[in-house]
Amino acid sequence: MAERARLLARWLGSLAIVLIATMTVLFFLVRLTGDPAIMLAGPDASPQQLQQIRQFYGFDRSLAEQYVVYAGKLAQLDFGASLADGTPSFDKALASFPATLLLAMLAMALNLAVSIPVGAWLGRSRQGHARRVVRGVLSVLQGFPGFVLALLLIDLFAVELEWLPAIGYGGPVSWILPVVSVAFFLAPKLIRVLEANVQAALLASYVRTARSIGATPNEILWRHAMPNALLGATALIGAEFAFVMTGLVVIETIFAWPGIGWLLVQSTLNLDFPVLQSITCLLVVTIFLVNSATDALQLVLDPRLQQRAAAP
Amino acid sequence: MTAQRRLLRFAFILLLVLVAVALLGPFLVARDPMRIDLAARFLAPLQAGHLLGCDQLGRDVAARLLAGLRWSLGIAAGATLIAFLLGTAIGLLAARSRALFGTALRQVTIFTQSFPVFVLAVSIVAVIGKSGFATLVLTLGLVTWPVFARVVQAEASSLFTREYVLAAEMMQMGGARLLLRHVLPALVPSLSVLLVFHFADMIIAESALSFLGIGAPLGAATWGGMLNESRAHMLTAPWMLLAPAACLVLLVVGAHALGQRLREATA
Repeated sequence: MAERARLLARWLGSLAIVLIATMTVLFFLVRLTGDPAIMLAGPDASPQQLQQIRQFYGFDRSLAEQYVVYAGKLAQLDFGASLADGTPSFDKALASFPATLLLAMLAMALNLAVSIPVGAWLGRSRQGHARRVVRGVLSVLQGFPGFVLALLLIDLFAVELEWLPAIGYGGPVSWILPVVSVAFFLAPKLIRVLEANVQAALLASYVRTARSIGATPNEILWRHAMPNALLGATALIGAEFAFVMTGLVVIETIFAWPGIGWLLVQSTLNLDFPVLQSITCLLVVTIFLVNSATDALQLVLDPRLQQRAAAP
Repeated sequence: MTAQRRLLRFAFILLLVLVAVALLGPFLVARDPMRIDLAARFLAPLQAGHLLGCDQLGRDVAARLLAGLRWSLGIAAGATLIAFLLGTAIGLLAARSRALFGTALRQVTIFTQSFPVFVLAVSIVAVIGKSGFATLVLTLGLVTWPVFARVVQAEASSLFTREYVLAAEMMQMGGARLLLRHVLPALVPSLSVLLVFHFADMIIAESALSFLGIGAPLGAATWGGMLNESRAHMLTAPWMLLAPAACLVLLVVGAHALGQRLREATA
């Protein structure tokens, strides 16, 4: 029990350090790269307006003083009001989160649904024309930036064939193109790893044992080789999940998907700095949580790692 | 030779051709990528001397592609170089010093790497508020160096325990000479693979940023910018989408193929 409490304390401690470091870097980045008053007011502001803003935000005080005030506000989750509409910026960032989560979940589900069977099929054998073609397609697909794939899919299915809506968040039909573009951007990497892992697993001694006691090839593949292949891919799956939770800036913009990446671009173009800060903070926490969850999942799935961690 | 190897070789040659075209570009195409000719709006490819047609302002797509290629290659090369130099230096330092300094460097590396790179790049460019070549190169380089630092640190720490390095140390070989003669040469294989893949990543990152209209000066010819402009004219002028998309994919696939070859050669 004491062991658990200590682990939890350490975990919370590192989360706090990461957050403090991020917010400190952001603070000094803003102060060092220019006059924040100009950034808040926009380039067309009059000198009086600038003076007002400096007083209002306390930019006329010393840097250390400003930092203390800034840190105190952050501790209460007060990131300031959005410059675009005056609503609390943190609430704004939080409100865009569900859309990102929806896209991330659907894309990861499709990614796994495609990668597992294809990876198993490719890993099973080296021979065959079909496999060679699929491998070639995969290596080309790996060179497709996600947003280029999205644009080509829009061109084909929304503009030329008019089967699907080109943008939107409206309903399941409009989800298809964004989800497919993200999933097909992620899948080649995962398929490659699963293929290699299945290949390695099929040569392992436990598979030989299973074969010798009469397990069928399908049993061996799905009950013995694939679970181990997935185990080896846990880190990659976690990294891909962290990526879709934070990195879909361009895809969300293309599809006008009102998630956190879309909000990031909007507030960047509007120089809405409080919102940018809230988004950054939220994303850092998300990444930290996803990474911790991945680590924990690996420990749960693979008891060998626990022993290694426990050993000095 | 399998189909995949043939594909790799093809992609590799293609990459070389693209780089050559970028270097020789101004001698090959005399057209100005910025010249607006409203009479030639949406001119289809292969008409009136416009090999790849014209865009919504009648600017020559081929000339813009070429200008975009030079921009992309320049940014990616610069950013990769900065990330490589910084990451290697920090990785070596972190591997060398076992005291608090080394631990701190390792923590900073992990912290920076756990950051959403693209988000960081977008906000830095926005905060700096200046667009241009130097801003973009610096931002991308300063945001992505941990990729190199992680690998260098991991490999160098194991090198520092090898007998030949220990022997050199015992013979009073100085720090700089030890690094240059015995540690760095051993890192060349993995670093060269990493360089090529990082270059491809930077090409993608630059095109994504310019797609969003962040980083490149207004109106400059960039592949990302061309892709963004093409969205409004997909039905009338599909070549505005397909030409830059094909170039971007070819460049990235070519770089990946080169990286793959290097990895196989050094494995």
